[in-house]
Amino acid sequence: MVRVVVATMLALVATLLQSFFGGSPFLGARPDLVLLVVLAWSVSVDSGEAAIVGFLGGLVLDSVSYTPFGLNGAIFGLECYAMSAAVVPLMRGNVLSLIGAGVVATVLYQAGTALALQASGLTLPPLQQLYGPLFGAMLLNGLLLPFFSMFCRRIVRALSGWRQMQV
Amino acid sequence: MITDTPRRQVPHWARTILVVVAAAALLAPGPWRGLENVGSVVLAPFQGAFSGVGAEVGGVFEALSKVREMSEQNADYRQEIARLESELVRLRELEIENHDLRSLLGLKERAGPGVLLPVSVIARDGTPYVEAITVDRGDSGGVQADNVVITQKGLVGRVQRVNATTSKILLITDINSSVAVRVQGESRTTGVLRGQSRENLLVIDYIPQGDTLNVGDVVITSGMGEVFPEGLVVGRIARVQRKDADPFQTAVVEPAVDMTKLERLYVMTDSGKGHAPVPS
Repeated sequence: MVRVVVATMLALVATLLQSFFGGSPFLGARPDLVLLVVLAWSVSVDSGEAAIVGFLGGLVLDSVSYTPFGLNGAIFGLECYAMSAAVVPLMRGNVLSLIGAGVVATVLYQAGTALALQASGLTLPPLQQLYGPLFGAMLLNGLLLPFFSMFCRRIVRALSGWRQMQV
Repeated sequence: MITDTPRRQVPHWARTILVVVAAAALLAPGPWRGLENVGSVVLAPFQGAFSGVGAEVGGVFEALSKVREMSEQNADYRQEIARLESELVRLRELEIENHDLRSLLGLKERAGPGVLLPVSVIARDGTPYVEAITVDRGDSGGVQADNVVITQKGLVGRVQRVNATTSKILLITDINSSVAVRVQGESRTTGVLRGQSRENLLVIDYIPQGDTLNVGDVVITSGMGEVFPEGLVVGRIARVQRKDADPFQTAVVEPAVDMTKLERLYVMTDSGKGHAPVPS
């Protein structure tokens, strides 16, 4: 429970940072900080807790986003569950696969958001306007996910009372 | 045995005469002045030398004593400069605010009576699909859905969703945004202005070829549809796209407000509805 609360607080901080994070010089893109936090947390916890953390983090983002409330919660919850249950056992600590997981998660998140917005009646900008920010976000999220994972793993271990054995 | 030779003393009367003669020599003009000149000629160089040295030494001591005084003055001046610089910054901000408020007053007079609620931007939507912002006033602060949002420079957008303490505003640069406008030019053309999302440009489509449009013409809201009140500045025509074969031409409009640098926003309550507003 404590870990879930801490993870939600981290997602809240990431939401606040993301609100004021302007487009980076890299193709006008910026990283999805909340997605990175919940994905990184799900690498170190079981699938049930990962789904809850993803859902709560997505709801925090929904509260400041123009997307329909609950959309980000649903997408993040599903992605975190999949990350913890299916991807982590296959990764075996491989950094490249972690980067790839971040890229795939970004693609799924952006695609899900776009489809949901279209379904709600909004018109999307032309694709040629979206290639740069989307591609940039994919790369940024993929490259930053390993660092976020390291950070979240330390917090999870600290909250779990984990102690490194010294021989 | 040593005996001292007694010293012969000047008689008293001789001393008196000598004093009288010396006084007469001092007071009476004549050859006695020559003795004074001899003395001054002989002593003058030495006097000059000693005077010069004395002046230099005195100057050094005076300079040393002034160093401390100047150091203290310097510190006082630096403090005063720092104080004046911060005052200058404050006054410049007040000048900008004054200019903005004067512009806003003119805008309010043109837009008609109503309540202007000041709001601040607290978040910007992170997805590349929507041009929207979140402000720090909601239902409890008097904001309602479909209220128009402006700055002193012009139109910003419209309130789409209202929560208790925040509101989400769709900017006019969003592709889903459309505004009924009129061009302040020769033709007084009316049309519907649409956003183009991230290019920060607006477009008026389906303008008849016969209408004359000039680059730089001001575009304002026409008030049609009673969504946006009439007279709000939207932007200026940046370029006109026309083809001889097409029956219509397109005007590309540069918004008056830089949507990437939103600062002081105002929500117009009771705007475009036609009923009596509450004066602020």
